[in-house]
Amino acid sequence: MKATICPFCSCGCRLLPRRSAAGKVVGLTPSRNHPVSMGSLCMRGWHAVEYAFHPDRLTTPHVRKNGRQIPCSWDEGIERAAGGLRNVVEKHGPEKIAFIGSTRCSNEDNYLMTKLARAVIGTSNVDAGGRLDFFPILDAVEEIAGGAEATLERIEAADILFVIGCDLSGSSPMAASRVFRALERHAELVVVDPRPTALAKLAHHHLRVYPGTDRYWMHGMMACLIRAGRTDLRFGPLAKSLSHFSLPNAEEISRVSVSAIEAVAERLARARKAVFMLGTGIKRNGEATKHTVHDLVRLAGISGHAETQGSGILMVGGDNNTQGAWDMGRSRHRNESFLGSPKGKPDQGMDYAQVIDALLSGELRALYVMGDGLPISQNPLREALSTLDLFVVQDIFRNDLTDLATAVFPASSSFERAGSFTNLERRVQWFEPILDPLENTRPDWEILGTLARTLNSDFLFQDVSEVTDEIASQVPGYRDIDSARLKKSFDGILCAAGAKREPRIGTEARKEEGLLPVRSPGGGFPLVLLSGRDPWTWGTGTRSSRITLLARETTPATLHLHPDDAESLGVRQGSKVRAVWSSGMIEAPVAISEDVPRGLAYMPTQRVNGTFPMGSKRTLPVRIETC
Amino acid sequence: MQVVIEKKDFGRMVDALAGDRTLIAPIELENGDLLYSHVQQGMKVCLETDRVPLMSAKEFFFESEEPLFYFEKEGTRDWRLTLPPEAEERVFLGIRSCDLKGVRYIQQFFQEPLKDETVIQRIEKTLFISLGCPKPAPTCFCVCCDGGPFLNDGFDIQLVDLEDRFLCDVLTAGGEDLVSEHSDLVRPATEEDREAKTSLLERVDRAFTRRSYMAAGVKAMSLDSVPEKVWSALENRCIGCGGCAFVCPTCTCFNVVDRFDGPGGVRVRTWDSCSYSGFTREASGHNPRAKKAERLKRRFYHKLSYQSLVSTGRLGCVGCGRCVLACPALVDMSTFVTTLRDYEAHRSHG
Repeated sequence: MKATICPFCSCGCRLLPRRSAAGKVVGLTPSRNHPVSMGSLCMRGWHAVEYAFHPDRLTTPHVRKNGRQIPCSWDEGIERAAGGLRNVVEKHGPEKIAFIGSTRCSNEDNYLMTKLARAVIGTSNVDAGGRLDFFPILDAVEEIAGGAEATLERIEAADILFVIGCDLSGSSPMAASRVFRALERHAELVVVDPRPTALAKLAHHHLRVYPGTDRYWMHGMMACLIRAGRTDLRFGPLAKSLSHFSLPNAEEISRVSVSAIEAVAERLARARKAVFMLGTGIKRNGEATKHTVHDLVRLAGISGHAETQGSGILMVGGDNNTQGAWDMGRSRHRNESFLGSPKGKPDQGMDYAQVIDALLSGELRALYVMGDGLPISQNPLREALSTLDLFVVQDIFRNDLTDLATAVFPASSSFERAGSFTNLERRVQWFEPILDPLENTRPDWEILGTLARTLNSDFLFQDVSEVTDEIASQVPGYRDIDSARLKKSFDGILCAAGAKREPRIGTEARKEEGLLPVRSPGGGFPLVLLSGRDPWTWGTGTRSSRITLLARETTPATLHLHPDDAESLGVRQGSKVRAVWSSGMIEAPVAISEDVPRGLAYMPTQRVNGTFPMGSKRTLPVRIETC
Repeated sequence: MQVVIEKKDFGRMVDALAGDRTLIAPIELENGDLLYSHVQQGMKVCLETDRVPLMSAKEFFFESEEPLFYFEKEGTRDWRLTLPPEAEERVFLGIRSCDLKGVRYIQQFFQEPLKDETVIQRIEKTLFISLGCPKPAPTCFCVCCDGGPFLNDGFDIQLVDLEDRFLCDVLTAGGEDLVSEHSDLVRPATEEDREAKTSLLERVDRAFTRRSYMAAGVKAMSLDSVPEKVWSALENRCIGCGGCAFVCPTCTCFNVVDRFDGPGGVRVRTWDSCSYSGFTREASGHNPRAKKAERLKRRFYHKLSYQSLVSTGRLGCVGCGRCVLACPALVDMSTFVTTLRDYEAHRSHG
């Protein structure tokens, strides 16, 4: 029986099709004999296949003619895209073109997009939306530790678990499942989050850190370990630099008490195996995110868990192929040499955020987007996109972006094709088609391949396995993970961390960069707004909102306030309010909740009425006005 | 009537059945997962009982998504409705005792007070050759739930695994017809076969390793004496996936939705779960079971309480153990009732 991999979160559950008497696929069943799903699924997984049947699926290529999008043949669409790319290269140069891949598309799709950009067009401007949330975390972990290396199995076997900045039960449910099993074995659970997530309520220690101040509790714990003499000589420089670190000061800034810092440090020192799960909440540290991640690696190192078998760091909360998309050329460290420097120019090219800036400043002439979004609720960006010489979008659904494109290609969903995804443990897994291809749609890799051939390249891939095999020969860490092995391996293959560099464990002195006292937000914005999401809305909801029962669970967003803040603002449960920040605002009814610390506001971003800044700005200074 | 078929002849029996009617039976996938599936001639049926098929038999009668009717616009005002094809005659070979108990449970639900012809027809037109379990899985607790490992009724034929042969208990006229069709493959049972069955039944009862304290559950749910802290502990773990309802042989929650496509569409009934908030949310936005703890309470109440027992005639759990296998958060029936029993014991001993 053909099996697929769940297209939502980065756990990578193995799914079998469930058919009706009439032979139609009507649902998905989790494999029990699989190291990730183990017979379980989350709500998204149980209902995932429904979106593939949604009538909003794109089924015809379109090109823009005289300002209007009209249906066309595949040949005409490809010719239009190829001609457009050729024109921009000739007139303006390849650096005026950018490519955006997707953390939801396969390794093969992302690999070919990188190759098309770098080897055919000659630009390094290739990235994905994962840049906003996840890639900087992966970059930082790789830079200091040579890649994260914990697995789901290690969670279950650990003595102490840290869940930092993540509502794990919602965003990586199979990782949460392992946490539950570890708790049965009496593992110690530490949850670091300003809000009491479901897991925080089960935790032995819930550190309700003030957003953006994670480095203080981390430094505090390191200082405790050093003072208790629980570290070896290699950490001398780090120990010296932390010798005057003030725990009361850390408490004042981070709101994590000295006693909690001491208690957790003590437990951490005693534990034999520690697993640190790191979510996008770490991005609330803004500019200091990289240093925060490095500090976490130092904390693991100094407590003796960096090199221990069974310990490690795991990035949670990502998409089904966040890790794979990063491995296929989105890593900033690897970019310089990956697939050769285009036309002999060693440059990193623009990342996702820089692409948006360049679009706004009119610096780019062409953009190619595969299965990802852009924050186009911002009007200027919408205008910038409509003035491009060429804007190609390939997607499975009609959406805001396809409406603006000069060429639109209907892609097949992952249920209709084969390829590989890499999960959060770096488990590479083969997925097979469980549905017949939707008529007139094509797999992303095939669209890119056809386009490249039209541009006279030597992309001669007839089958997706040939792309997989090229990845096995080209991408560090994927060596020997060829299609033949993958197809035989129901469990997938864990790949070695990609970095060639000797991993370090952070013995050097602590860096002060970004370690500034956090001031209360001022300038007329007295509260800090945190964004989050409910577990039923995945990303922007392109797919999950087209699944009946997931859409039914999703209720309109509310702005959560602490009772004291609500009282001083004079608002009640259900009052319509406006959260205003420096560059925008959002309207929502109030939900009063003790779960939100004083001075903070919280809002899940599904079904919001207004423009919400995407990704990187996960904390926003705001003021609340009544409507 | 009791007959015996040698295991070496069983493959011929399967092929013969698959040849002349629609056959459903457990099969083993390459990775070792077991699944009930439609079986064609030449396919290998897996009658091992120490692994439980991923889903229960429910999906063949109450499908996870099924068309109720198709609609198409005719002219400007009229709609033409077409019904899906009627149920066909089938043989379900190797259905586990617990799963057949589950089918009989949902049969009752779909029979009265409002009869659902589709589900009832599918059940009535199926001949059940059930499989008594000589070897339970570690998650099985049917012995605690009147769910198995062997049945006294509800089947057409029951297979009793006597190592080199199956003793077949034949209970119905349909079963007898099937046996007489294949009389070349069977022989009448002897006293020795019957004694072997008796001793197997005794052995199997002792092979169950999991205790599931259903009585503690029935008592606590009927008297509404489950401490709040038990619910809040479960609430913080349950991730609301709904999987317990989907894998459960007796759960019947459903949703009805119209799927439009061009000028027409289809009204489908899909599986649903009482653990979803939207399942009970009213049009006004009010939700009588807004908290997850309240929804969990409802689920266990329906399976365990005396009040439910009276209306359905049995426990709402057959002890198949699938919720134990499928729950990512260890909020399954067996763990739940054990928690209640431990709590009770703890309280009486201070």
